Amino acid sequence: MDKTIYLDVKRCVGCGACVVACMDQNDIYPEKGQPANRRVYQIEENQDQGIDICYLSVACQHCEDSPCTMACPTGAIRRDAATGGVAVNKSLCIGCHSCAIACPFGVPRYDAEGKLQKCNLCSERVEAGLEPACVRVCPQGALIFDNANSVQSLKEAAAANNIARIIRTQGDGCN
Amino acid sequence: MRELSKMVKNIAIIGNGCAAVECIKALRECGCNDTIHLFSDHSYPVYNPMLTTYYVAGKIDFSKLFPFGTNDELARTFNVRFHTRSPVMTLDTTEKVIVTADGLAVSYDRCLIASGASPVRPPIEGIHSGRVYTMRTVEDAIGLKTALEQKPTRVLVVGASMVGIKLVELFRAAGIDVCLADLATHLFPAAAHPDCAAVLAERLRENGVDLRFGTSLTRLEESGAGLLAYFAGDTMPERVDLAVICIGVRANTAFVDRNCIDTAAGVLVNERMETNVHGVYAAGDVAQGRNLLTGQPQIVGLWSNARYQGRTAGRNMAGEHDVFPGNIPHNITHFMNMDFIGIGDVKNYDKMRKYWDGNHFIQLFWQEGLITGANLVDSYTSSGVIRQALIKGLQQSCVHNQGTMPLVQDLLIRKIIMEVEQA
Repeated sequence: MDKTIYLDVKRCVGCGACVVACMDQNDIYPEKGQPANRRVYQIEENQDQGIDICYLSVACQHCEDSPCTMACPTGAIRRDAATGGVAVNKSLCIGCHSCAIACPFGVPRYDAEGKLQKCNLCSERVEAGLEPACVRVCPQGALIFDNANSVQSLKEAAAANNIARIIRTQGDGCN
Repeated sequence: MRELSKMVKNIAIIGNGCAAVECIKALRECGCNDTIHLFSDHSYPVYNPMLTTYYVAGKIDFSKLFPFGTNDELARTFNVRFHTRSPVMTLDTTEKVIVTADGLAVSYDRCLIASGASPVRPPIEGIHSGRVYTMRTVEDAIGLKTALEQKPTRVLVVGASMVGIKLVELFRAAGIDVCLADLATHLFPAAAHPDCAAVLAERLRENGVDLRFGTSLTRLEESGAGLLAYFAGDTMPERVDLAVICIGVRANTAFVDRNCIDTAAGVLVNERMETNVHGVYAAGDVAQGRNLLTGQPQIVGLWSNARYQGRTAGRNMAGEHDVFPGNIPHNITHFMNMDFIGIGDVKNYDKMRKYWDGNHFIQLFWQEGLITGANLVDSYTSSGVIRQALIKGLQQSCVHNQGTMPLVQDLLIRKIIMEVEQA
């Protein structure tokens, strides 16, 4: 699998632009009973100094060894050869919800006909060499469309910057 | 007795279910070029037992029972020699030979036992009547679908199980009166806490289902065009047109020499899917792997579990190293526009919290600070996160296990726990 969508939790401010962009790109109408492919959760935690709030923009993680694929009784969930993402063949979906209990991220939702509806990694955009709509619109740069190695490099660079900043402000403890 | 290919290196696979297919796929993906012989009791392609009720209900076509395609397609794709209608009678692990019912003997180098499980019929009078059905195999599905063409007006479903409830759903959808009976005192006795079962039972009654719990079926008697079903302590029988028995399944191990291969309810395996006999593996509903909550051997009869086990067996049989550490019992069933979810252990707990707003029901169970069980009704969106938390052994406070789950999962489970705790 090549690229997928990653979330930098520290950058997400819960603005919901990704959700709207996803709905627009995929012609999702909530008023017709169509669930969003992407959701933003607000997580509150009581801390000693008050309440700590963070936001999670969550959609299908397109797991490499996807549990939903293994759980699907009909073969409706398969790897898409073009995007490398996890795709749904709705004509095979029986709405049994086996994928719901398999998904570690609570992603699966079902359309008005009871069939699985989820992020398809904006296959039309990706096949055209574009980023998924949610990534394209994120004003914080919290959503990243890249491969695992590149994302890991970004994380390592961020960690190195943090260490450098601490050393600059507090010294390295050496005389 | 005919002998086949004694000199070449053979892999024997007993059974034609998803565990067998995943094993074969893994073998070939790992570059194994040995000859694969697959032995099946029947001639149907690999089918999913769970789909049988969907077929009977008319929700899927017959061809959709077979998610891996035809036997010919599998044989061609993975170079497999199919021996259909060839039940294995003997697995001789000393001579490393398999003997089928029609006398075919095939020597093997490595063997996978993936023979699945069969429905249990209680040993009571009348149980073998032609009006008594089970629901597991393709033949079962064809038989019941044919019976429904006779327009029954009232049926008995024995066993308030995941299969039983799907039968209830399809019968009610067809306008048929249903009595659902179980020896246990409530629905889903293995997976549901009585509190959760009570919520579901109320909804079933609202949908016109007669529930009969805490009583055992003692006798079935054909009477005219129907059946009389007698229950313990009740002189008046249930009058029905047909009955379906779905009280559980038993691992198919008749060909296994229990003096050689360690067995309990099924064939005992380690995390590499190896039995105690070198070169013999087991996977699927016949295999007794590890329950991650109890640490004890347990058959977890799930499609995905069988696939993971089969894949793990295949990789190891090909000479790779792979482990499937075990699983926890978990089920989701979607019926009559509702979901029931049972995860882990809901019987043994030292703390329990319940969230119930009239629409959504979440019940969490803890043992020594660990979430060890959950019941959910119409809350499927939380089910996967909770299941993952159980598997990862996430502690209630989430503090001690920080870093054991990806951050997103970690935060999602905290949110669920907080909602239930504050209810």
